[in-house]
Amino acid sequence: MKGRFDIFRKRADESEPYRQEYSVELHTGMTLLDVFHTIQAEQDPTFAYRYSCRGAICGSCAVRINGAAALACKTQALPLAEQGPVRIDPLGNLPTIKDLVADFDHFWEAYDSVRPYLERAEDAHDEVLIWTAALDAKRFDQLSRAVDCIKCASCFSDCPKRAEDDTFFGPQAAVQLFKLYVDPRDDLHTLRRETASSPGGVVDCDSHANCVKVCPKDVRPLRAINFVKRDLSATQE
Amino acid sequence: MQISERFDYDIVIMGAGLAGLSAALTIAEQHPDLSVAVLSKVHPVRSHSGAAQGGINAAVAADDKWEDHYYDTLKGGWFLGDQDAVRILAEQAPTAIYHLDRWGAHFDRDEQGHFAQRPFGGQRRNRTCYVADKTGHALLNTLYEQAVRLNVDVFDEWFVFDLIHHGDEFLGLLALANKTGTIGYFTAKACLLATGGAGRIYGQSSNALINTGDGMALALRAGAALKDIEFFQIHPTGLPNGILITEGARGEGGYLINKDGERFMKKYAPQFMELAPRDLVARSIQREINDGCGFDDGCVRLDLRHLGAEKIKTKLPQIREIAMYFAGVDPIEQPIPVRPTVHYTMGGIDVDINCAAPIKGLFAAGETACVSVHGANRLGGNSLLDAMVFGIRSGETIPAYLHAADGPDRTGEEALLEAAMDRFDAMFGDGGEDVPTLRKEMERIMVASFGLFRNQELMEKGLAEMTALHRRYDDVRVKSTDLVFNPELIRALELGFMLEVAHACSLAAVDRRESRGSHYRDDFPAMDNAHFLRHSLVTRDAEGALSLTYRGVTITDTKPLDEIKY
Repeated sequence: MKGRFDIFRKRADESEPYRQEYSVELHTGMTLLDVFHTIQAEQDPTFAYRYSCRGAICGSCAVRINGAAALACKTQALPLAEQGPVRIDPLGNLPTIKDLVADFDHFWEAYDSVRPYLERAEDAHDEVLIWTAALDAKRFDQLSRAVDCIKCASCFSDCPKRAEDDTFFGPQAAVQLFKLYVDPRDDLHTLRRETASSPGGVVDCDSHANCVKVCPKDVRPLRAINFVKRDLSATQE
Repeated sequence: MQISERFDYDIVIMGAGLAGLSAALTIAEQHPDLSVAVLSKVHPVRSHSGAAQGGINAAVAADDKWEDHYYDTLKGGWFLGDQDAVRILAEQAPTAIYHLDRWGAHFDRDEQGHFAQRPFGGQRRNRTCYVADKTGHALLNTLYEQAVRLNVDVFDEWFVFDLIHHGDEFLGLLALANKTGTIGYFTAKACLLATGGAGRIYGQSSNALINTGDGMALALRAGAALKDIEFFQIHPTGLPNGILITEGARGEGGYLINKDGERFMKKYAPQFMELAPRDLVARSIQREINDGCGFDDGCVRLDLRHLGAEKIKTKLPQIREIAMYFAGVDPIEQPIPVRPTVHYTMGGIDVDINCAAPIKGLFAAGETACVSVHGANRLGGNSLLDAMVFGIRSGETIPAYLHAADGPDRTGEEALLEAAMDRFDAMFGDGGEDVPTLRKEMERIMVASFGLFRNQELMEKGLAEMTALHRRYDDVRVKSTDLVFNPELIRALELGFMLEVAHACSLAAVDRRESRGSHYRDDFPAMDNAHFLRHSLVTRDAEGALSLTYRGVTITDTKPLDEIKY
């Protein structure tokens, strides 16, 4: 069948955005990213969007599909289009540079703000390390999910708290912080606690849970946030 | 178009995957006095290193020896690897693991807390360290985190379109900032090319769409050679759309079955079965399909069901996800359709064991380079390792080079830049050839003539077609002159890079009249050490004419076998 795609367009200059509808012949197995490639190759060579791995591991191609953020490469096009025209927009909570290409600067600023790296002595490494001795099973599971994060910014795009308050660092930065907060190898634990409890940190999360819903890797950012929140209050005294 | 910004660095790195980032981190930690810029056409965490699932080899176990890893790599590469280079790879592997651990990688550990290791094909023991089945992703993100810690200057989404050199001396890179449309000139005393492979020249490929051989083509155009570029590893198990199902699935005990439900690998490699080296497994699958033993969809099946839901969920979660989203199959309930897909570029820019190309100041590391360590076929778990070991190594050899060498002579630089910008401007205009059409034709030729089974007739036809196709590229024109995220322009430039590599591959492949590793010919089925235990070297003159020469393999202590058996 032919699928109809109602796509947000914007030139790189100051001009107003507009919408354009494309009709693309679909077959089983085609992803939304395949649809974008078809449009770019066959209908409009100027149509701009991001891509890299097309296998849901690089985090390049997140867009909003019928209003919710998702990876284009991981979304089957046919079942979507059978329900009517598919509305495609760039990610939210970020400015748009051109068409579906969002400007990630604010996203990476939030990431950088948590000092997103392990800090330890230059000659340190662990011949022996038993993760499960340092972390209980639930936290270990959440750590593994945090490692899965592909920085696609779907959670950031659809976070209602971030939409109303751009001092909140957003779900991805919280995940990154959690990853280091529970890491027994990290030398900055005191600083992690400060970052988490400072304004704009995890304490500002309003628990809308959109991040859990839209995450394409099932990272569950809100769960990470709640672990840190509980730990902060349990160890406050 | 005008160059609107000039950036002066000691070292410029093109590519921000495992090789480029590990080089940058090494320089930043050990030589903080040197300035480094890292350019990537995507954001670093979008690099293709992140797609590597299975793991990274290193003899870190108390009862393992680097010498065994060395021998397994040599044999797996059909002895085309240079023995001094392979020795560095195996000997330095544990150090690379310890660096990654220090930088924050979350390697899986065994019950005693040691690095967990899984079995991978062609190795005589478990030697592959891993982070579940997302090893590349985890390591890439770890390196990027450390790049933030060390304040590395990362220029993300800057597309390098030209390499400026004066004769055999590197001067700088010309790059386009996708976000702003700015054209920048990056001068440096040394440049590391770390742009990954070129698997996208094939129509069936596991590679990210960005793997278009940019660094290889720029080096070739600058006068460096592409070495052993006829060797493209074809991974045995891709989904019908090319997305890879890692060898880890077989490492954990997956079976390959034909339409009769038979574990057919017992016919081809009874001792190693599904864990035989990749080229053997790939050809066995293709043989089954060609002999009519495949399923109706042109695939065989990878069966994980006997592993049980629990093991699949904990050990292979990403494979399960990939099968569900990209093939519509849950491996807990159904076997996965798989067929061979192009996976890895063994050949690459001809560099020595210090990662140096014959052009002064030009270095290469990782998949884009050919040192060579993988020879005619790469072992699973050695690609992340190659990127790490030689990334770190180039981070040591480049500062040493800078210490010994004077900066380049920049006389005449302006004229070279003008000529380069004329070439860039000539990309724009009306009419001419169409990029998607040419790209499809290139992909078709590569699959038809330079795939799993090659022969003289097929390859001569392919070479003639590729030569004609490459000529047509001269007439490609980009209509939109907007430089901000211009997909038409980027894809046109990438096609130009890919055609250089595809053309070089065609030339080298047709002349290698033997079978070795991934280069399998049904008209010359045997390995021929007397004539072809040597590296092919393809170079290009200023007019674009390619020529082919050879160089002997470096042999230090191990006599090459005349036949490879597992």
